[in-house]
Amino acid sequence: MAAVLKGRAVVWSIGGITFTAGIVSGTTPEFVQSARIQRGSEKTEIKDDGGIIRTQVFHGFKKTLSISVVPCDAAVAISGARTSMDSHTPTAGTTITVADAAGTVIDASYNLISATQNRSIDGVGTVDLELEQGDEGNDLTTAVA
Amino acid sequence: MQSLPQKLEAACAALVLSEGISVPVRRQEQTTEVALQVFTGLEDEEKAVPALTVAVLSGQEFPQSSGNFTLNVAVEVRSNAEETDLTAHRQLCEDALEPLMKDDTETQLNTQAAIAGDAMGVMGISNRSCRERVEEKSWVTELTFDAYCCGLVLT
Repeated sequence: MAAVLKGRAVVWSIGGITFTAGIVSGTTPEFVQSARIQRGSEKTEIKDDGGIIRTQVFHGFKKTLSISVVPCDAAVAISGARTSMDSHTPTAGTTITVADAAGTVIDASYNLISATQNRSIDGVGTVDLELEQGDEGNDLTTAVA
Repeated sequence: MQSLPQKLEAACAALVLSEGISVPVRRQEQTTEVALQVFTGLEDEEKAVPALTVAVLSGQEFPQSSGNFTLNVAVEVRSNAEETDLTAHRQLCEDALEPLMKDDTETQLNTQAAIAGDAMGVMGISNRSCRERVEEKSWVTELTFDAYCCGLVLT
């Protein structure tokens, strides 16, 4: 008789992603709605004289993190929620440090590529963040002197 | 202790009651001004018409684990067609529903909740819709909207 599977442990929901620099969740909190981390690189393919790919060269390793949040107040102040909304929309190039309680891949400081504030007449205000960092031990957040 | 939907029902009812609305009703060949009866939620008591019932029977939390809810509010005004003509019913609806159709409805609802001592904050009203119909021998006008609320007094 085959075993009856009762289930398997999986990672459910966001799992505790917070900002510790650039944006500080402890001061201007948020509800993280979604997070997507992509580890990728550029790829160069070298073909032989028969057109057959013989070599793939992976270079320019990079992590790209996309996060959507709902800025909020730590208590009940509408003004605090508005402050948090603006705090989650810094200028491009700002160093943002992200901590993930559910894993290690996301933990890093990133360069902010873009921050998009979304408001609609009948909905809650949200912010979408696009972040990037090198993925081969190269810290791209160090400012050039 | 009331739940958040019940607090919102109470605030809506109090807001309408504060207007002191009455409507001319013809009974036994005499026309008299009858005060609008206001009811909340699901009640099994007999309701005298003309009546306004405000019910918050559903809602959804957003964001998850925030404690903030989008509550679906249904307000129904009902008059007996044999006692109240359509013109009077529509005037009743204009007077009774107007407080719930203004751009400061959220502020007014928070004020009524504070008067009642209920911890509640309405952050926004959206998706208002209305409908009028005849049901058996009654004129029925309905206003529905969503109220984005939390169970705390907002500052």
